[in-house]
Amino acid sequence: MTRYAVDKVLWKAAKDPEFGAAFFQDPATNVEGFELDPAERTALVSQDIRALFQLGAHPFLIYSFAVTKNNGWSNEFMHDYVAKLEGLTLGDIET
Amino acid sequence: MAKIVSLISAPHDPTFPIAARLEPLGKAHPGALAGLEHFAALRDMLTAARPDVLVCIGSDHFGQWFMNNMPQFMVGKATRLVGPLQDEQDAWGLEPVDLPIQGDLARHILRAGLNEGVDFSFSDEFTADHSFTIPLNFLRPEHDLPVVPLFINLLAPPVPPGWRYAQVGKVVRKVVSEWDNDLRVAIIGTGHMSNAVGSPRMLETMAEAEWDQEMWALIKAGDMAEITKRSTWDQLYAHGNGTPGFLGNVMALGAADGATPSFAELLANEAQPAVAFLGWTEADLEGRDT
Repeated sequence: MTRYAVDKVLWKAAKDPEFGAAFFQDPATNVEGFELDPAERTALVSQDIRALFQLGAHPFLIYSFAVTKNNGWSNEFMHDYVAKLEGLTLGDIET
Repeated sequence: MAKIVSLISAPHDPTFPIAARLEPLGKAHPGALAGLEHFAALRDMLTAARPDVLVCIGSDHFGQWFMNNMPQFMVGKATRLVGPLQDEQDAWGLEPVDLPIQGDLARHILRAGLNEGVDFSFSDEFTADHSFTIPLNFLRPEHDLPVVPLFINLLAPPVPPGWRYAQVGKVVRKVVSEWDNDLRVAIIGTGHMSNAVGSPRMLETMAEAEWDQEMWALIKAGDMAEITKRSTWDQLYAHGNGTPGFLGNVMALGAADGATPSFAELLANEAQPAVAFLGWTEADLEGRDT
């Protein structure tokens, strides 16, 4: 199971400023060292919130990642984030 | 022996310190104002208890602990409790906290806990995140007391079932009260009600849900058997990915061991995810009327 690596990329992008800056500039290069399956790699490189959620990434990490990508939280951002997940239900997130 | 003079379970939602900053400007969300009043009531309760030491039970929102090494229950025994994380200070404008840790009590809880069947992890190097600093800043803004931080996993599955959080809470109370030191100790926990930060139902849980009403009724009735029965990860997660944060309240309820809190308020409106404010006096904990 490679879900752990998805969570780890999201975590590092949100919590490690150096990795985050590099990742958001060139996601494809910066996920190369992680053990990811093709769908996970595509979702991370395209920063596809909906796909990451469907792949079982931890919602709190997806949200932190999205806040970082947005350069901070706002009410408008939160509504936009929730709209991207419309119709989805929570699934398994264990690594 | 030490004396437990107060037990509190309070929220750690960053919307509260933001509301506290905006209140003097008349710009706070009206739905948050009752929460600020509840914090003030619990602060007065804690002051009246005249504690010498605070045992603080908080979590970590992937600030430092991650799935490479995830503790379920951990005693923090560094020399100081420092926090919150810099990114939390930047994002929400949170006030920093830097307090001495009561190392003798931390080591006593760790060792005595092992004898009581709780294999606490321990750490001598950590940062306390907002789940410690927000309750501390609201409940003891004087920053004049030493603390002992206990970290609990509320976020990364699998987590222990609810009965274990209640049991560990009860053990913490027992071993603290057996500490060979004539100090007055308050226990401050934190938790959520329904919460879905980061998932599709995020906006829905910012109002009182049926689940919140049901669990609140069980808390008011002191029905720990039913509360713990309904507090597995799967059951809580079904009501929002952050709802397992309720286990923080379960741990405080376990420490209360059936005692009725004289302060109990549920806050559920559009200003923040639903949260509980619970406070027990020394008399409450001993089952006395006054």
